[in-house]
Amino acid sequence: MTISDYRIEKRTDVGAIGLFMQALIAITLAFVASGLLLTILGFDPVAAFDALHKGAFGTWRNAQGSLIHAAPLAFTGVAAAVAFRARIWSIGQEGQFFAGAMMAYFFTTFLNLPALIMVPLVILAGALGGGLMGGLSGTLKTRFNVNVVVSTVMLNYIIVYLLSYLLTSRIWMAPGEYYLQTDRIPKNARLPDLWPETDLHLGVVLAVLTIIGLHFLINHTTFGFSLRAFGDNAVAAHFKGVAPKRMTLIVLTLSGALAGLGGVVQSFGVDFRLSQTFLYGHGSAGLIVAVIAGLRPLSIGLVAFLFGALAKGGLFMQVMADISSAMISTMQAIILMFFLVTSVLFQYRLRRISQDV
Amino acid sequence: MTAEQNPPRLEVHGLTKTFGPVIANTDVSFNVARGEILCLLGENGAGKSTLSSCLYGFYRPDKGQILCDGMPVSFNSPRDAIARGIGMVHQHFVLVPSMTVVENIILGTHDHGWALNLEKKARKISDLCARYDISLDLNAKIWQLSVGEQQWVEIIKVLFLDAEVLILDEPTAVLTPHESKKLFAILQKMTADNLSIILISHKLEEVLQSDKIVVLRKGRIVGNVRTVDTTRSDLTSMMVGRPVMLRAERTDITPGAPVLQVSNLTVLNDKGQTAVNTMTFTVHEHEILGIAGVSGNGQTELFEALIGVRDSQTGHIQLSGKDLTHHSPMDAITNGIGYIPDDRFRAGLVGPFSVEDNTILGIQKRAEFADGPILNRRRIRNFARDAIDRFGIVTPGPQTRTDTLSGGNAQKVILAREFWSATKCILANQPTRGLDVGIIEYVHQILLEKRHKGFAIVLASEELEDILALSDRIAVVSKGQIMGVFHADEANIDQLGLLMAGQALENAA
Ligand SMILES: Nc1ncnc2c1ncn2[C@@H]1O[C@H](COP(=O)(O)OP(=O)(O)OP(=O)(O)O)[C@@H](O)[C@H]1O
Ligand SMILES: [Mg+2]
Repeated sequence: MTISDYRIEKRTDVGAIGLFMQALIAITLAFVASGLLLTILGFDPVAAFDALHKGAFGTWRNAQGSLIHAAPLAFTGVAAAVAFRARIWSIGQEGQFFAGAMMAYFFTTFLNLPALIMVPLVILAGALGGGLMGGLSGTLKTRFNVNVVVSTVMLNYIIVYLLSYLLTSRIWMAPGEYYLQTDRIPKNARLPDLWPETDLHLGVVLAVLTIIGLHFLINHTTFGFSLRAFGDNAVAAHFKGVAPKRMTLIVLTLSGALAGLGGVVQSFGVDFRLSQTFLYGHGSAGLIVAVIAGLRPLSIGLVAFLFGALAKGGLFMQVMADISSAMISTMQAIILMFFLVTSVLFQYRLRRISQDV
Repeated sequence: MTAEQNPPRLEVHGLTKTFGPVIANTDVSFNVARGEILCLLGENGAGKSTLSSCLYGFYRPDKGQILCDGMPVSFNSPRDAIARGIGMVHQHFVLVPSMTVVENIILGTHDHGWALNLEKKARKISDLCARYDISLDLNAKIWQLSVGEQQWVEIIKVLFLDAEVLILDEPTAVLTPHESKKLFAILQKMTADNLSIILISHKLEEVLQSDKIVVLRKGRIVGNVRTVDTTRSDLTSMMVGRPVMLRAERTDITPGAPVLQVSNLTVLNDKGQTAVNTMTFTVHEHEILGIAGVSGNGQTELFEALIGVRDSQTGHIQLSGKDLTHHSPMDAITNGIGYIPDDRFRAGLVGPFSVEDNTILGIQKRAEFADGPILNRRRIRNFARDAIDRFGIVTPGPQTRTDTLSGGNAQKVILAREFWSATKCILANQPTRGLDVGIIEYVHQILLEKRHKGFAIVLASEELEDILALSDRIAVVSKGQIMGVFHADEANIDQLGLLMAGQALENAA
């Protein structure tokens, strides 16, 4: 006699379709949970989500806004992914994001050149600022064996306080200014809009190119090969020619430069000023984006867009339904939570087996 | 009549286990009685480890039945199996290094409730040790123990759970010859106590100490014999499907110019102690230098220094007259040194990588595999396909994850890569550990072929047969020092054995 029986077993590979399904389920569950939360708080979830949807995608203009919000997250997302793929636990994206914006701004304080030179210059300066921060963590690790988590967190604080000092001590604050923020960035240094009548700026294009570039770098180049080998088995990689210290230094510098670019894109493409409130939170959101996207650059693009839409729609929701934008941060965290839960579940599958009795 | 009164302790009927497209076991049936040692023999990838994983409840078979004392059972987890008295000693250790022996042994029990009655348990453990003549410091931390001692801990751990059927997956692969002898003495005591043993081994002299042998090929049973009725050559041809010539033909070649010159090399181990002590030797073209010695006498550190992952304290390393001292692993690779490590999944392979990616690990930048900085997938895949064909690697394809390969097939991936990339010198540290005779024969052949082509080869092995069959000269190491160097035809096994045990020649005489 043969009886059927079901059993759970571990998958070796989830596959692209599996990942897509997982994302879909996680996001649906997250919306259901957030809806419940809104109801408990006394809001009408239908009205809230309607506002969220309209704000994010309601018009072409709103959709552009979502893209603009997504761009900096794409940078901090790939920054986190590059480090994590190498199993280097850098959580310095926040500080590097600040550092990129600050280095670029620093150049505008003493240079005033035509846009054709100034724009590439501030972009490079952003990469430089973030890269220096990452490189510093890398040097601390490779020279003095300072734990990367510790050094990156420490540097996050230092750089945020540095901006705060530069502002409160009025070094970077315009005379007569009331808010803690820098003077406006001169027009010739701003990232230009893609066409008239749009807010889409050069930074969005840079984000898309960066994502594609990183996808290619990680999966199709010899450097990406070494990086992945280093992440998956550092000992074997060392035997096969990957110098651990050099790789650590390169990865942290690259990761920092990417986060730094994000800082320029945000402050030179959107805010046109530097302030703690404008820059704050992009690093931690990028971390979440990277983890949800499974550290894959192309998926990071999609998840960053989702988070950008949430941010854009959230602003609209705030105005239309009077729901605090803190709700959006809560939703992002809820999505992450469901994503982590479903990713464990998706590693298993139900299989029918028959047994001869 | 008697069969009905005494059903076998463990019986397997028509067991089948697949992993997606890979069929690991097909219709396997056998039984083992109380007090019997059954040996599972088979080529690498034949399905031995998978079969034992089904028996101790780690995998559930797709089809088939397992009976304990004639009663059908079904295991959902290793806990169910141990409740039926079936325990497993793994191919790779699963001990917690920072915990003591007692703690590690008790870790496996689930019945301790709230209070850990340590004293009572420690007494049970020391009784077990006394019964099987195992000397262990129960309060030592695992990391302080030798590999052999860790193996005893694994065994006691299973006995502590009152196992009556012990499955041992290649237990002697990591043991010194002396420790292996001791293991078999312990196994004999266990069978005298009516315990049943299922043993997996590739070493025929060990296989022949069992009562019954089940031979697997490609997941099927191709032989089920009583050990007294069989011979070595029967077994190898059953297992490989053809007769195997283990004694490779070594033609006489006069060695050429010196290739690898090592002088006064001193290397420290991870704990900062001297592991290699002022070693000096030279290996020439067309020459195999055998390094005979019990593992842990500095061989690994020596190889790591030669390959460049471990820096040397004093001394020089030269390759074809070029100074390589304090070189990097990349220098070693680009200068034509190939390395076959003893611990393949630690030092030789990236487990989550595909087979094709592992076949080019370390040489990915060469023009054969990359156009400038960009990997050429098509050429990599063709190379991997070719390697899979030439070395007979059993795998669904070049894109399979390497950590799902059986031990021997994983080793072949390394062999394919290193034999392709090396141009001058091959460093082989226990290259045949865990391999079946068919592949050992192949490794021997290929080493001799490389020797013929002019390579300088350093071969470390605990198997004196390996060393004697292949080497032109033999250096015996003990405690990081070269105790003596012999020409292969002058070497005498007894003398080598004494030197390996660390006795200086004068004392031996
Ligand atoms: N988790 C897994 N997923 C996919 N395939 C697997 C898995 N485990 C084992 N296999 C495949 O099943 C087959 C049998 O493997 P197994 O490890 O049982 O061989 P083995 O006889 O123990 O070999 P060795 O002597 O080399 O250890 C191999 O082809 C292997 O690639
Ligand atoms: Mg095995």
